[in-house]
Amino acid sequence: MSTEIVLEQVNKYYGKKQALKNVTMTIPKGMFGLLGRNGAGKTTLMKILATLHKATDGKVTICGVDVKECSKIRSMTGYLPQDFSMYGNMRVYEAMDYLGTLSGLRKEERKKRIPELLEKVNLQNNYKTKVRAMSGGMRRRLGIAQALLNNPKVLIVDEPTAGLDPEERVRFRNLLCEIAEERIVLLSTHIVGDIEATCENIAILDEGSLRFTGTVEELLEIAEGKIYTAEVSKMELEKIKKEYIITGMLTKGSKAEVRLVAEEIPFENAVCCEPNVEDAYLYLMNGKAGA
Amino acid sequence: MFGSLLWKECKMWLKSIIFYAYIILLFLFYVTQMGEGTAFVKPQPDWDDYGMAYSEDERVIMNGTLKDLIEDYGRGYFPTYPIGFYKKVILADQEMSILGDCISELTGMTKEQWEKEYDRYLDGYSVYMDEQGQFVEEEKVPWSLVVSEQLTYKEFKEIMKKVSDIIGAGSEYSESMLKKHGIVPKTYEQAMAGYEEVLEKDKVTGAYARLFSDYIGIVLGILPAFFVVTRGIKDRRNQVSGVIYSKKISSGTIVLSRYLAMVIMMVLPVLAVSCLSMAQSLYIANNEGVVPDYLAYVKYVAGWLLPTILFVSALAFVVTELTESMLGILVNGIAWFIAIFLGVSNSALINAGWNLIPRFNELGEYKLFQEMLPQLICNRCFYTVLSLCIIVLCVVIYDKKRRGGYQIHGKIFKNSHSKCEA
Repeated sequence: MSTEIVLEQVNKYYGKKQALKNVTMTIPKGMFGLLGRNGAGKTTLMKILATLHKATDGKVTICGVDVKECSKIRSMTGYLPQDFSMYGNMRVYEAMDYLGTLSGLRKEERKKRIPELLEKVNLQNNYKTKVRAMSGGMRRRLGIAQALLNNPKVLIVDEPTAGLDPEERVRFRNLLCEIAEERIVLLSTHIVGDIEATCENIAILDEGSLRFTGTVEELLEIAEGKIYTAEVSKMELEKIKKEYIITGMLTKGSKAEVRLVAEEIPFENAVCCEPNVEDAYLYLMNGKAGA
Repeated sequence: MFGSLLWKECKMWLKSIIFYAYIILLFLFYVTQMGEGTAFVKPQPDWDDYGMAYSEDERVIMNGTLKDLIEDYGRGYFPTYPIGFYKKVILADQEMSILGDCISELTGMTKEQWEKEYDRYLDGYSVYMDEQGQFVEEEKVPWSLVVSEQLTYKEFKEIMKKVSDIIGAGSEYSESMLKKHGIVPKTYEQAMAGYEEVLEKDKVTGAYARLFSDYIGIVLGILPAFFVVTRGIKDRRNQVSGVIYSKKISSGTIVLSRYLAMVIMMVLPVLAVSCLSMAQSLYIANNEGVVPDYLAYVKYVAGWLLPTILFVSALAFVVTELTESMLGILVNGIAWFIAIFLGVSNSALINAGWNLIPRFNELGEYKLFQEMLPQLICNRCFYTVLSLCIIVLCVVIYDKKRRGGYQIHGKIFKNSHSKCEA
């Protein structure tokens, strides 16, 4: 059985609103990033894969199994929702034990698996900590641990780093990379840095449509020769902002060093530079690639 | 897996304030309603009053029925209890005229004669409040209208069938309700026979368990709703629905384990509080030299109170799953209000009807209870089966929600917003 997720012509409507428009793509083993603005359809897609929403039409298979077979899909996927939490008065071990039972694990399996997972997410010293007393980062790590209870082939992680401090975010990204060695990890985010640091393959959603799917290198290639840096006076800055997409800016006294997107050299002192994922993403999202 | 989840759900309740609030409320209700204890004493020959009884004498039943019928006729409306709930019936002039003819047949008098006699009685009838604030009825002219001596009980029943058909379903004059009109003061012998029955057949504990069930049934008609609604909205408040929905376990196992855990955690305190009443009944049984039925309370709680808990919980469960709100309390509140205030509880001692909260507010009266028992069994079986049907419906709704297939009022709106969050 192939370890991949296949989506073919997937559409999703909420009443008259179309949240996904003919999405077709293949998600291979390893870390896969799903990028897009707020409201792009990322959570909808994730929920369809986690069997929490039904696609209006189209076909979705996970490791060869149709998502309509909810029970089979649920036994092979782990899901960490965007707003993960547990009953506040439960302790960490208790919460894992409860969710382990819901995952269909027998008592002996739970006894063996829960300590392993809590160690993996660095919560081995927090067995008795109440969920309500945990920090945002600890809660997300508990979320990852619970999603791995059934040793899933596919881990679906929705906006896991939102609201975390930089240190916790880096730790969390590393954890996901470790986990992705054996399975598909589908990471949804609107933070480009998370994708850049962890994913080899990505997809970009915009208003329900798939704007890009491929490797990070392929995304960078699209923006090749379109990113420029220049030192400009603050007087010129307002005019430049109106004409170009600014991807970065550093002020130095009366001058500013800007990084911008342009189809050709924008002005004389501008220098073409290597694009990063954020540049390429902004180039793509602003319709310059014509995708 | 089911057992493990059931145990976890029960443990969750042990940490809940709602559970302890439920115990306290149950206890307080018991103390305020039954706490002083109800005396069970042997009737003495010199007592003035031994209570009331339903007469077996056909003549007493016929005359009692006639009196009630004429009074209802005079008021212009008739109380009925279709499917156990009160309904006031006002008849058309033509139907009233037929009813007037029936009364004439019963009395052997013309309509003018018995109406004149009834008016004379009413003129001498008054109600006033005495110095102790008690209402006192005064009849200066004694009631004189009786069923004709020539009329047999069979003929009487035929006329009453006609009356009952005119008034409609749940009439107080249907054949099974006729006995209710024959109330007479109990004699010393009857009171003694009742006393002996409580000792021999109820073993004392049975009589007290019935009274306990009667009182506690009132509070169990609403309290479980708070219990269930709290659990229902707990998932949403703690934002755990998404995680739980994505797990492998079947919807049936989740719903049934939660439901059963709640029922268990609600029944156990009832059994605990029943021990207070049982202690009193065991003491009396001991004093009377009777071997008590130690399982009487368990039997009555399981047979009488458990169906109430099952139904109220199931109704609250399904409404909460459908609306994800506190609406379950309101719905159950309405059901409770109907059961308490519009039910048959006050009027028909020997009728359980289809009321959610059957009443039997008597200590003893074994024979009466035996008459009510078949109805009570039907009533309790009905609510048990209905509860199970509602829970099956709950499983279906829960499963649909897990698959994102439940989109009625509020959900489309909610989902369209979740798109924006995506």
